[in-house]
Amino acid sequence: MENRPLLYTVNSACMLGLSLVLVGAFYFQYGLGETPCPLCLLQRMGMLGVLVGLALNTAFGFRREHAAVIIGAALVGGSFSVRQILLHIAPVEGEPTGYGSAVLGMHLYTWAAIVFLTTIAGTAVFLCLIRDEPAGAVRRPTLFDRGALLFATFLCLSNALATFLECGAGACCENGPCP
Amino acid sequence: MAFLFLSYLATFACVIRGRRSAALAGLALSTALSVAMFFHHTTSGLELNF
Repeated sequence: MENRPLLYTVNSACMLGLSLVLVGAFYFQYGLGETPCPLCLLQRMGMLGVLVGLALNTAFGFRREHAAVIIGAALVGGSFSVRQILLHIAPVEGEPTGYGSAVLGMHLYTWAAIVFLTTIAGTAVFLCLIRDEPAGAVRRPTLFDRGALLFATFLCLSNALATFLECGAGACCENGPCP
Repeated sequence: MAFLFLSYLATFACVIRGRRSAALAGLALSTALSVAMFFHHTTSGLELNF
């Protein structure tokens, strides 16, 4: 049984939705002037890993290995989020709570953890619905699929440039390159 | 950390060019480097309380 085209559209819609989360991160960085911390950047990388897994589905068809890639990237990114949540779980009296602004009462790293958990849950649902495409299969993506893939690639390039402008080629600390 | 994003970008390029094995290898490398950077930041002794 072949996979329904609707499933591929949903896959691309997920790719677009996750890309918009990264666009939101850029809004906080450049719109609100909140410099991303190293853990924030690592969480963005986790999301890019998930996007690569979704892109593999787009380019080569659904495979269990791609689902494993998505779950693995979400677990890595989720670990970074949980680390940051734990760093701020017990606020010091008189000091601002958390790092950066809150959205609907939760900081961005908490939202990131929710995104990664949702990704894992969504992948579990997808695994129940998809059939493995034959080995060596190459899909012909639709215009929407290609658009979502190119947008995710563009965001990856944008993140590389933004990080280079913030920290140069080396490691990042709170407000730029590490001393 | 910009080079880490570049490694993800190279992975995307492999996907677009239809090189699945290279993309999987690139993602594995990128993820490993991200985890290494995470441990560098958490163990480097810098005051990285964020």
